[in-house]
Amino acid sequence: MKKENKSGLTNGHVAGLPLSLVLVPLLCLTGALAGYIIPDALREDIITFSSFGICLLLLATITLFAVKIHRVSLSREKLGKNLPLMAVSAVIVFSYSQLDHRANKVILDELVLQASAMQLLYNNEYQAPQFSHNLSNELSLHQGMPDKRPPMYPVVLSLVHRLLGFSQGNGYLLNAALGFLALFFVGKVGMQIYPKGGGLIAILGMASIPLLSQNVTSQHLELLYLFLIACLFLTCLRISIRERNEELILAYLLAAAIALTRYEGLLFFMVPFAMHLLLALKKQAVPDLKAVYVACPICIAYIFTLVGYINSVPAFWQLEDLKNSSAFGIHYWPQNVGALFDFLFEVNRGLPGSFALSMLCLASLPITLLHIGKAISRSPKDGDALAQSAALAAMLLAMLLFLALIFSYHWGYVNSHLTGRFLLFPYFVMLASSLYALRREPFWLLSFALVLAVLGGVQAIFVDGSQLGFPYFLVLAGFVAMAIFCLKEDSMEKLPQAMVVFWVLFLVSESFPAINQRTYEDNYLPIPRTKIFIEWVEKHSGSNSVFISNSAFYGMLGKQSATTIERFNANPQRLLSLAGNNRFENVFVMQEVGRADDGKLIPYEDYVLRPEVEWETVEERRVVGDFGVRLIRVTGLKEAVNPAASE
Amino acid sequence: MKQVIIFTIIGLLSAGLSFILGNHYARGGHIIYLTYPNLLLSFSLFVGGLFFLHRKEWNFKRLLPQTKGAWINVAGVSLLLLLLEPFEFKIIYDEVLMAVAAEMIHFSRIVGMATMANDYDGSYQFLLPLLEKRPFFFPFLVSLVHDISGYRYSNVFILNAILTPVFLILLNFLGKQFGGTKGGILAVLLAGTLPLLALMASSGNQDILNLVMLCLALVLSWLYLTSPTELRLIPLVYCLILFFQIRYENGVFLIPFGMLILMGWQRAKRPLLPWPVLLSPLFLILPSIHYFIVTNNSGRYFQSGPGGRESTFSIDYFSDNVGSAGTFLFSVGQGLPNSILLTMLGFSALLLFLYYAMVNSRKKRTATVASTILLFLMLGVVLHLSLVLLFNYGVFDSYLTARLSLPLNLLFILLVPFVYRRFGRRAIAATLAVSLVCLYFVFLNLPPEFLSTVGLQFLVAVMGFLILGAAVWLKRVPSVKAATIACLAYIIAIGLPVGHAQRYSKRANHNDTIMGELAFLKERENERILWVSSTPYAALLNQVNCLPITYAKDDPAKLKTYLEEDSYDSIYISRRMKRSPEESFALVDAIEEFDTGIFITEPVQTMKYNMTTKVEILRLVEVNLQGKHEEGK
Repeated sequence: MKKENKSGLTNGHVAGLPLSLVLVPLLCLTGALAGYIIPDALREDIITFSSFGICLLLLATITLFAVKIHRVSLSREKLGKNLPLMAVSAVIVFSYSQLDHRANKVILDELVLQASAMQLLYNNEYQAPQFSHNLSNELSLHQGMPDKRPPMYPVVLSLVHRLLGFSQGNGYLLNAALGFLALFFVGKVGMQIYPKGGGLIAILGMASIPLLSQNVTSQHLELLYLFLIACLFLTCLRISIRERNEELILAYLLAAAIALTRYEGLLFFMVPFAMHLLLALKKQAVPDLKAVYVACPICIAYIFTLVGYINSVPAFWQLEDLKNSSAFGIHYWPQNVGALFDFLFEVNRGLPGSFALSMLCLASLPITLLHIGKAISRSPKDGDALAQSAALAAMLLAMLLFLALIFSYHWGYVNSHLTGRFLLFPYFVMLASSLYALRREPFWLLSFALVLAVLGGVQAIFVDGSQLGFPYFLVLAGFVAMAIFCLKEDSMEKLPQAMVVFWVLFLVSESFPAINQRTYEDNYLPIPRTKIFIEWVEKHSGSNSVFISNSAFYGMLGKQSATTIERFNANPQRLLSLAGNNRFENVFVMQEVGRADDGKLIPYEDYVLRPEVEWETVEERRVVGDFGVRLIRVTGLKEAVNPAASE
Repeated sequence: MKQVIIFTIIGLLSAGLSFILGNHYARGGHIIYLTYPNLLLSFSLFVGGLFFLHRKEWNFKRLLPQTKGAWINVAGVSLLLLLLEPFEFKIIYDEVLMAVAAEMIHFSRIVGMATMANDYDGSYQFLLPLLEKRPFFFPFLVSLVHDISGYRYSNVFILNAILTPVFLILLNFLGKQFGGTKGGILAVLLAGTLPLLALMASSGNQDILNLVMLCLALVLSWLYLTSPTELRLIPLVYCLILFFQIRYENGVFLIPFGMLILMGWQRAKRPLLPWPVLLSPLFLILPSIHYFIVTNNSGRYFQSGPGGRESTFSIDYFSDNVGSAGTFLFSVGQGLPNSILLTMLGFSALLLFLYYAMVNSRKKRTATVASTILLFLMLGVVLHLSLVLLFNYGVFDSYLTARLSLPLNLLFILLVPFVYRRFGRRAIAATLAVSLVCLYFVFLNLPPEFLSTVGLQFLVAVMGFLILGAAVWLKRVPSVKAATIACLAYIIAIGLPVGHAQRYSKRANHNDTIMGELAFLKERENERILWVSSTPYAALLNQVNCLPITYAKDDPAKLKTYLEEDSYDSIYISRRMKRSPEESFALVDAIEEFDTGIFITEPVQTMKYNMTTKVEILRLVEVNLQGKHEEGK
């Protein structure tokens, strides 16, 4: 039943289908079942102790297979071909680093990821600690619990720490490197879909999204996610277009890595599976998938264990924050779909989107779907047409399911600073779709995009009441000019050059200044708040103090003693008695405050101390509007409550 | 023919529109919003034109120095120009205003000058922008640097530091075309003798860009006249359009260059009018309207000149301005950033060039491309000088306006290799003769204390130069080589010591007030500051919240709220003061006077710049609205 050909590809069949086509889903489902039935009591321990090993093994396997597959094709000539894409990617990442500011940009997410990486570095355990202290002359991390996010990013970050030594800046370095790699692979995908200049167009188009810059200069996991997706997409394109069937193993392993970065990444298993199916349809040999049979079920079992664990801790869904009763529901759709369109049709700088790219992406969808439909309908006769479209079709399907999931999620409104980042992957797939449409129907693509852009302008003026700036007219003029290019056959050849010029102009005249100005971060307190808290910790780090705030991570990541206000409020005497015994010099509390009508500063809900705590102000800063931050020093407890004092 | 008619119609329409809109309908707001797209489009066409020319007809690699010696020369002189002066704003307000305009273009794509700004919502927002009088190509280029590398006001110095070697490379190329390989080296060395260039290269001014664009126009003219084609014409035309948008007076250069373009048509035996050239007059509408708006409101935009010169242009200024030009060009010692060597070589070259042109025209010889270009450049410089010498600020011997002499100096620099190559040792003789005559007049007018102060070193250098000249004459050393040696000697004997001491910057400290304020704010970059001043430029450049002092005086309650709510770590009030004839310091601008009963302040820093100027920075401690009520009663 199973026979191996010269290239190492196996051709076992069951009922006319390759055996592996049945085995892979079967084993994956078994993995899911195993993850599902694991007793709740074991879940936390499994996650805590197995995360590092699983991620490391998976990364090692991917690296080994990637090297094995590409070793033959790596050459200086190929490197030379890729050099322009590498150079452009590097220049863009460098520009981002100069234009944007390095900061933790999403409330506490990045701090949690960093704290998890710290714990992985020191103890090889996947846990975000809840408090830390220096009482034994070295930093001890305590009472951690695994984070709700899969561990791939913290593991990669902890590997960087292992190489460079722990630093709060390592995440920025990692993301800059991932930004470069992600852009380069986006370019490679672009080259596959639109061979004439598609690489450059894809990189420039993707770079025009300020959201990307926000992530390159942050410490969030989105870039790792994007990078892995770009790798997967490229691998699938190579399988479907270039018939590099042996790369199917890599595609499955990459899908597993994506799932270990974000749990909705499980969706991506459908992409290599679609390629697998394509090979079966084309009656082509399938490689030996032993590694996939082992790695993928384990990863899926892990993710299901994690999902079970998250479900057992209701706080992870943050239902309180938005006053919602359920994390997922169809009733979130209207609001979330509206939010998506708000994001895509933003003509000014209120949100970190790229208006030009959004219009091209949206306009491309009907054209792409139509062509994919045609390719599928012709598939038995015209296998090539399907091969050209299969990877994109699978990716589009993954994107649509991803969006459907996001729309059903109570945090799925993407017109916010917190959640706009969900759109990086859809932007990438839609960019690929726009290149696909550009190759087939350039005139219609540009015309649709123009119509959408005009509608966007009309909406901005008459609905939102906002003004249209120069970049909007640049987009219109660009689309008109390029549509005119498409009308004549001789000028049509110059369309890629015109597209590159357009993106360069858009990048320089709109995206880069928008990134430098960052109006889309206006009125958003967490970014400056976190910066200031970290700055205060650094400033007072020589004084053996405890830093208390809504999270312990500010102090902990500065290698200081730290705990949360919640823990402190539960038993203030304990910490204050340690301070009284000179174990700590100061007990600092860092609060987010708002100014009341009477001019007094009122701490936010998460930052309120118990009324009996006595304190003095060390430093106050207004940050945005009437909101600010405050550093206070706890001086003691009021007599009635202070047991030490009453004695 | 059809194209010529269309071009004429577009040209006339553009001129008519500019005139009518500029004088009757257009407002500053139109310029503020439309200038950026206009500049971006014309700049893109210019770059595109260069790109296609490079790809299809003429490889721009040929612009680069072709020998190691030439490279070393360019690198050496670049370093000389860039390192001998501190990188700082040199001309009061001009440079700072352009830097603020560049900042606004970068962030908001509008060209102008904000009167106040704040980051109340998070990002830094400019408020109440006003139209600036200067053209915007330089701020546009600075904003491009901001676009790519992120905003920092010092990018303006980086741009000038990049433009300086570019200018020298172009100069080397032009010198080579006019005087052979050694002519290129000589031209670059001659530029190295001019301290004024070092001042501009390390400043935030647009004059290096002006020279770059003028040189580029000459290079493109040379290419165009050598073989007139559409591809060569497009970048030339857009180069001129952008050149016009650096300084208004550059408009006069459009006349000789326009004639040069027509000459190209004649050589090509047909009118060359590709579509970008057909449309080119449209790009001049906005800068022309801007110019009309500024000149129609000259009272608002132009200050009165030195010595109480009220009107902006007048024939009455001519003789004084010619005198000041003479003072500048023939100045010896370290008082002014001129190059007496360049002046002497330049004047002698000018005379010889005129002689050359006369002889050639008498003998009815066909003019070479090089001589034609030089002739048109000379015509442009003459027109430029005629305009500048009628301007109320057209005095060359002032630190502020010496830069107006740069086109003339460029003409000198380019004439010397041309003439030296063609006249050989006769050129040396002419230079020595002109030099002796000049020196006679120079020393005749020198104050007696000159020799005891700075003149000795100079005198030695001049004598050395004369001896060297004589030796060269006798030993039959090639003339270009001789001039090169003279330049080197001059740079080592005078240029380097003078530059090293940075005497010009130290002596003329007009802009120290701004640099002082910038340093003050830099020291406090972690402080949350509100800057109250009638000149908010330092705050705008550092992205510090700022408020005009008039606003603060009109609404003291607002400042009181800021203080009560700790909205800012500090509220600083900056005021400029000058020593009055009665020997006490008084405010430069009466608008900065405030009621000390209402605004209670404490002094923070007083920055004295010389015997007559100081800036006083106060911290607002309290606002006593009671004082205001009492005053009201």
